[in-house]
Amino acid sequence: MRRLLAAMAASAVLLCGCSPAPKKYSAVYTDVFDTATEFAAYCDSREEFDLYAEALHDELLRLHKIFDIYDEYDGLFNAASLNKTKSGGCPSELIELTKSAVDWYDLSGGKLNIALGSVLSLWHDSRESGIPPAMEDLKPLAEHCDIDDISVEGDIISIKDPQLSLDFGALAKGYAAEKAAELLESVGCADFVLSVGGNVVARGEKPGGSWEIGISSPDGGILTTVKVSDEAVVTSGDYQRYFEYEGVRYHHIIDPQTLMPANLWRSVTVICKSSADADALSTALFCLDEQSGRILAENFGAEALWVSSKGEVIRTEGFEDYEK
Amino acid sequence: MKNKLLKNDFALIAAIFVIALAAAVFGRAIGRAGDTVEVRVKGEVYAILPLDKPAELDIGGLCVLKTENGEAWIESAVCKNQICVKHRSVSRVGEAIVCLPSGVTVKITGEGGADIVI
Repeated sequence: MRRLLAAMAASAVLLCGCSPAPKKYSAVYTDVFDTATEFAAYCDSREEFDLYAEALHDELLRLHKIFDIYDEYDGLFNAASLNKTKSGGCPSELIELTKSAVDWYDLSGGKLNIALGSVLSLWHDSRESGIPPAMEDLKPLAEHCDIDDISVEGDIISIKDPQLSLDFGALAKGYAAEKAAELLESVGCADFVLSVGGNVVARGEKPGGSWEIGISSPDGGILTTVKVSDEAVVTSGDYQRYFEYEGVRYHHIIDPQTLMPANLWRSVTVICKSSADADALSTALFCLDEQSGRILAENFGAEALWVSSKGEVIRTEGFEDYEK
Repeated sequence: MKNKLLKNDFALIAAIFVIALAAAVFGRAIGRAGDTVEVRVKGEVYAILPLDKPAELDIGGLCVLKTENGEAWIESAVCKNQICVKHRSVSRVGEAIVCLPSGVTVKITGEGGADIVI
């Protein structure tokens, strides 16, 4: 109903407006997916933009609650509820992303594993305390990360291992950005750029051409810029979320096979059509060697840019086409 | 005399060419210089400061922002992880510093340049 009202209101604004030159408006949210979300669009009026921004914020909050593993909400069986009870009827988005995540486990050679929840939870506590976890504490938890213990039947997800918990952190933001972009389009917002914690979805164009997305250099500054119109862009980097202990940096992308932060790359950027795929790919590529990463990216028609731990920059051939 | 002038002119043209080429190469790599920095707290615009003069801004007791010579950075913050303080200064349009625990975002704005920097 809310969507319908927003669509009607947006259409009304569009019909009544006497179309002056569209102006750029932007909004920032810091209360969804434990990250900063940026939304920018060219609109005829502040009122029109605010309608889109509110619809977007509502949708992101709704999705945030579904994939939240820390808090439960009244009247909603979410990821936290599932981790607690190990079985139950889930919202369609939770079903869809879980099914997709099971496929991604195989596609990434086990580098993307939503069953890694208990290991990631220990790393999460470490980021809070500032002290890295001991391998002897991580190893017993890794015994309870078997993707085959998750089953989906109809709208019910079941977890066989009582010590296994799910974590959608590597996939949820990209998926949510995709869903939110679909909602924006459905209420009449055709030209916009949205970034949910670095998961960028661009639609249409701004006056004068494509949207311009800067890719940060791991040590600061801008490494390069890409021009996109209907693509998703995402970067996984060791500089985004981390803590330092005794001069060593511990970042947030944990390799399921070593249980430690992956250290092949400083950052990996992926451009492709789907934001959900882009998010999964960037995390997988961050943990994979160049050759395996290239094959995986190619299978999804994705382009990629790697910054190695030595600072060397590697690109797929098609990536250059997006650079200015 | 005439030849000498030509020689000097040639040197000058060569020098200008080299500088222009260097500017083109390096300018491309680092994006467009910003004019202002937009400070938000929990999404609400808190302040917009010009980048061309030195300033210090206490952002609601959460962070202290400094600007000078076209750059902005977080000088200090009350948050635990201090990621925002360790972040290198930002100066190019679209570049941002985020302090998630405090909900503070600092973004460089200006004419042209990148819409979002990730």
